[in-house]
Amino acid sequence: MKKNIIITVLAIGIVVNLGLTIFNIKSTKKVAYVRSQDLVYAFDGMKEMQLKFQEKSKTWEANIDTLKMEYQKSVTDYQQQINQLSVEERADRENLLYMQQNNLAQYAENMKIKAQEEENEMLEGVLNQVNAFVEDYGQKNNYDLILGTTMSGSILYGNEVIDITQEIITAINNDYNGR
Amino acid sequence: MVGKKGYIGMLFLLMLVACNTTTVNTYEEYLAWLNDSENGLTMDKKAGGIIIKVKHLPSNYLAYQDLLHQSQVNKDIVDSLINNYDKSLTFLLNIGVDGDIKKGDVMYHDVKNYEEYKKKLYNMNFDIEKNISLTINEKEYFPVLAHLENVYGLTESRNIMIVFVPETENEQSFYNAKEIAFTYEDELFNTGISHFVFKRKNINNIPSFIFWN
Repeated sequence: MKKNIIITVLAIGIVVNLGLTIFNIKSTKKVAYVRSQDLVYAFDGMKEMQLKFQEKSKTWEANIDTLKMEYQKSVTDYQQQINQLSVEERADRENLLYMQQNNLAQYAENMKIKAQEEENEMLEGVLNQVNAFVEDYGQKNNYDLILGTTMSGSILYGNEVIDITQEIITAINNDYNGR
Repeated sequence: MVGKKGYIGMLFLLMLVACNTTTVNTYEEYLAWLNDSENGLTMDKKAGGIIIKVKHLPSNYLAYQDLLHQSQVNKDIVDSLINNYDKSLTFLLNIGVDGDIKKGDVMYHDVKNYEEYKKKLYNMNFDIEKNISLTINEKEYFPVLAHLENVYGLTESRNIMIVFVPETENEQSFYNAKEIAFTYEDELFNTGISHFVFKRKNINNIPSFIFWN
């Protein structure tokens, strides 16, 4: 009789213990964090985007330089010919130079705005890629939460054990390059 | 001792093992094989609520599409068509909204005004080849044809068929290189630059297709 009671108590103990273990496993959430800035700048898509943007910027700068040179040449020509020109001709040439200078300034300003817009668009594309990848990575690897540290963020401390920045960098670059 | 039948059986088994190429009997089976991403000819990438899919269209698929409109089919016609398509590489780029996140026609995705819609439409119809390239053994190729399919508003995604050819007939790497990287530099949907790397071994593994029974 006493033996049966001991066995029953032990069995109940095992069942309760098992239940608590399962409860603990289920209630433990898989959480990690990523150093967002490091991830974005180590992403090959970002590096490629920056290279493409630099190439485009060089072309725009070259166009502005060409216009500057043309304007400078017009000014030099005018200064050399100034003594041979009548008052009306001088006024006309100065007017033309003024318009040329304005056009150049306007073009440079437009290029600056265009460059800024294009850089923003390209950055948005890169961030969309990173966000989509992290979401997919989190789902495939059963994460409940992946936090991102930012310069103005609210994460003040994270144990290195749950820092998955490097593994995400490796995974996202492999995916990006089709490996 | 292994008998004559045993040797034939073993030979048949060896042939099966040595020959990777499978054969399918129906067009449906063929399409299922082609669309199965496990077989490496269909790939996709998601970003910003957009899904970009790229599919390599094999020569026998393209030949079959041509033969649908022909009254007579024989081996010579089939071989001639396949041989013709073997000289180029054809891909289908599909751009659509990611159904898990959003619904709707991709052409209206994030469009704020008519000007933006017009820009998108114009680019997809006439300019998209500027944003697509193929890299084989570090050499870059640009499309000789990029055609946006007219869907008359019936589908929410858009298909663009893209064809590449080598610059000269002697460029063997175009046909033999181990990897073919398809790149789409998106300027319309904010998905960044996407690379899709196709393996030659997967292209060589395309099932042969029975064109007629």
